[in-house]
Amino acid sequence: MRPTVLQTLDHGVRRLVPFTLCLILLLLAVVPMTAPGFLRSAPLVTVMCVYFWAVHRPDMMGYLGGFSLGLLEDLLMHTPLGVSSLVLMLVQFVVLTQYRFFVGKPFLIIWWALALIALGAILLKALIIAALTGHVVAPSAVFSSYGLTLLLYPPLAWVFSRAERLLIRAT
Amino acid sequence: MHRLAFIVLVAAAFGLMLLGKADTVLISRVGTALTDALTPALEIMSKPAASVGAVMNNLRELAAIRAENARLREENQRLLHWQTMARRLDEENQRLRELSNMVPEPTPRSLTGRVVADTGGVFARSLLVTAGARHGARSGQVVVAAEGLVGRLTEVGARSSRVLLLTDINSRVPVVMEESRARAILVGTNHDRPDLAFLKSQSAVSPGDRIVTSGIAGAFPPGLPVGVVASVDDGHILVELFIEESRLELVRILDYGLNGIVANPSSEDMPP
Repeated sequence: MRPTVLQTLDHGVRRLVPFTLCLILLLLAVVPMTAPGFLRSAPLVTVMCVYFWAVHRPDMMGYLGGFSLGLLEDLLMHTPLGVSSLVLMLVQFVVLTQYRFFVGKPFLIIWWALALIALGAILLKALIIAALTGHVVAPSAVFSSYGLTLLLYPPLAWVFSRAERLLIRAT
Repeated sequence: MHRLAFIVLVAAAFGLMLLGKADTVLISRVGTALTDALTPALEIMSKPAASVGAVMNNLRELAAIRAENARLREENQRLLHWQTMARRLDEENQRLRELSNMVPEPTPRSLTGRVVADTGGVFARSLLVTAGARHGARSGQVVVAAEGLVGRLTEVGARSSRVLLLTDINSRVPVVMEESRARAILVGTNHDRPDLAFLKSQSAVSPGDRIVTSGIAGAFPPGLPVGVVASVDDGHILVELFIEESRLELVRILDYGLNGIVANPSSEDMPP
């Protein structure tokens, strides 16, 4: 049976949910908040987002999604254009090629895998930015950002899996 | 199919990096247009965040209200003394200026904008404010808060602009030690405390010294308060800024008519 126009439209809108959620989170991350020092160290929100969707619903966010999100991040954060896109797509690539590893794994394993992937992502980003701009980023800043990323992943994953159940899987 | 998309998009990302190196004007225009488009959304989102922050602050302050009150009373007394002194000096200064026919310093036009995004982080430090070309903002203008210097405008869109903070790794500001008049350059490092570099003699500095802009190179007017020396550690001088970047809500953009070293002749937002 061919899907009706409404069904196609519905499917299209649902496909936009992950990207929109990521975009909202990216904007939330730059909204000025009077947070204590450690919380200001800019976690890798886009890496967490892209990782979550690649692990749980790879059909809902393709490479184009990762690319566009990275582009927006670079333009918003004033980092060299293309760097975040590349890093995010590599995160997606690693997860998608190791897809079997992630299927049906408990949350702790997924979190541990994020720890590895996010470390690779932030080091790669720091390296490319150093190569492009000639400025070496302070290691302490890199590690506090990484630590915050790890801490924030469980609540983020909880919210996203709620959203996935409510907005995408519901028929 | 997926593999192909991946390869094409990775190539595109590398292409963008090269383009960013080659054509900075184009990239900054695209960035400005995007931040302009996102500003209304950021403005809406920043309001509840600001209210939550205000509530938290209130709670924190409530806890220490007695001690704070006593401290403020004491400070008020001290400041009243200073006020009398300042009035007397101001009057004396006026008279001396008249006597010596000093050329009057320009008073800047100013513009106030709300901070809607704080992209402070590991790789770059900047703010987005809701004042753009249509309100009179121009790239290179000086941004201050009540406590002191914040930075300067680097990209100006129609209704928003980007402030390069003093802590950004690309920030260089000519400064002078208020007491010893030793000149130096304040260099951002993406840390909360920028470095003081190119100081002629280290002996001229000790922790607690006040630092103000020197006005050399014409990018900043002289005498704007910047911060105090936080630590001197052989060859490495860290500066504690007067402003607290994470607490900025409103900033003032001053137009001294200086183009200085940040003038960007190719961008359309420059005055003719």
